[in-house]
Amino acid sequence: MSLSTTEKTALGAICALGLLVLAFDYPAGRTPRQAEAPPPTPYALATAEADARAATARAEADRARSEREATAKAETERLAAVQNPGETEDILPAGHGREEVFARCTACHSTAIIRRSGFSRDRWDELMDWMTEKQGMAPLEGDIRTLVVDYLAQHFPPRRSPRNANPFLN
Amino acid sequence: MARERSLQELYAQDPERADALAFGRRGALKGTALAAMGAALGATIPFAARMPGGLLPAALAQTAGGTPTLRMDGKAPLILLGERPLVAETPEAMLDDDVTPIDKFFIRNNGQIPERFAADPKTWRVKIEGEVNTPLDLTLGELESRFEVVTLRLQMECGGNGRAAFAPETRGNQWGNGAISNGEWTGVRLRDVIRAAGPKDTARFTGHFGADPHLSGDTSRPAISRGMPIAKAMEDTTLIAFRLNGQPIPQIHGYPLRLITPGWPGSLSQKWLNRIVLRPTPHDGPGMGGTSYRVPVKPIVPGSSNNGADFVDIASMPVRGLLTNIAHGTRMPAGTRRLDLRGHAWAGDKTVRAVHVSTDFGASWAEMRVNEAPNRHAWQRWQGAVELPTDGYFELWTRATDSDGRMQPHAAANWNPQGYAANAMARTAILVG
Repeated sequence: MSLSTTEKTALGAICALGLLVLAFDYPAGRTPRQAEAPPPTPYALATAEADARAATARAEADRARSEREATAKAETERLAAVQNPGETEDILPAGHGREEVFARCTACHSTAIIRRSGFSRDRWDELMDWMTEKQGMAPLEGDIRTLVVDYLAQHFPPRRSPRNANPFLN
Repeated sequence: MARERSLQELYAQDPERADALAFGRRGALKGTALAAMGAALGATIPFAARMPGGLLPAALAQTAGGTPTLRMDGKAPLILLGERPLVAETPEAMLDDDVTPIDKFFIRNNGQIPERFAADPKTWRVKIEGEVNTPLDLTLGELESRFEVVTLRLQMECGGNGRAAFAPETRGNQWGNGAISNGEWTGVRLRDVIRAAGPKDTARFTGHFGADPHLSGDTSRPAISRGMPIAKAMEDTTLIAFRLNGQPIPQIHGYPLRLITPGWPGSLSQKWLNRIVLRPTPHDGPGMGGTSYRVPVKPIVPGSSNNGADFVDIASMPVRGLLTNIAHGTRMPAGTRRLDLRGHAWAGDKTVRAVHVSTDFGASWAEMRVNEAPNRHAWQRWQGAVELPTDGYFELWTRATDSDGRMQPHAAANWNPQGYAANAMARTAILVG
């Protein structure tokens, strides 16, 4: 017969308490021969049962907590994996500025939003300011800004949305 | 065949030019282009003469190419719009259930998904503070025991739903029409909690805060923090929710506690909710002001630049209907002449008065039957049937009308830089034979 951790804990607690009760119940000077162990008092029994129940409840709470923690950890890891597509630079079209664009943009977001966008150079340029003002991006200025915006404008110009691809033309 | 390929390639490579070629100067589809389009589709287009100028058949309107699919335990294969932030849309044909199952809920994040709360969910805390006489700091367990617990079917829709219909393309996730859900939410009314905090006369707006970290990982700034006028907060369908479809809210949807503000942009349904501040003035967190969740009062030139200073916050979302029992791109047996149709329709704070379906690009409309909502702010079921005259390529256009008589337009109206509140009617392409 195998016992669960909870049951073992509970049995252990009952035994320990039983011994304790016996020890205290032993009047000094009695000889062991006379020590037909008297039945535990109702008080001792009740105490032992209450302690056993408390131990069971504690074990139960421990188990629930470790289950919750394990669930939380697994869920956090699972969602971290979903949020990390493992992209590399070559997901973007080759061109001057690709390396800088990939490094800067993926500091915050994956490239999906870039690859599904299409704007004029002016709109891309404005987007740099918007990300700084509204999204906390470090300001992008000077040559690096020109490089990034030129790349985006060249490779992601205005176009129709890629959604709703023709279902009969595949 | 050469012509078919060239037309397809042209659409893939240079849709603007293809558009210009396909349509005549006056916007009518030209004979050769029409023939080419028909050949490309492998079908005739029975109602071609009625196709509005400048509007491509839905099947040709956009470039071919696979849309990535979300692969995630516990979620259906949704349309993956982005991994970080994680954003995924529900295909319209997956929205047929009266109560949206959890696996079919669309996903929208503005920041990173926080680590899952590992302690007993009943110990999660939420604060109500600001313009109140008695600031509250309550556990989820206290919320549940102190206030009346209600269960309601409530629509929740992203403010950007329908964005892909804007021309020119706007910033943001290119949602089709599937950023909508109608879950069965259990929680307490926000108004009961606000009343318990004793709002002052100056409590006119809310500001909401959640535990999700900013995308950059900077924990000092919220990912998104929006707010609403107190009147919306005091509606009896605005909930602080802790269960979805009878279960704890999944982590990705805001476990263990979130706001549900039905009928208004989904960003007001703050996930991982931990604080609500009552304010004398509109909230100023990320996602408020400028062009965020705001639309022009005076329409602006599509594609133009604007800082949004004269825009207004979106309140109620506009009317929208979906066809949910026939997927876009369904091929039907030759000879199919009658289609039984059904779907859902909703209209933000309003209700849906009518749903019509056209098979001929809007020249004629068949009225569908529309059920009442089981409770306020739940979507409404519609059903009916249409007849087809022949085999061939058809588009089923679904158009809902709200209780004020406002209909969905053919094209996304009131263009704005971040692409909110587009409600162009849904178009489902089918091929018979």
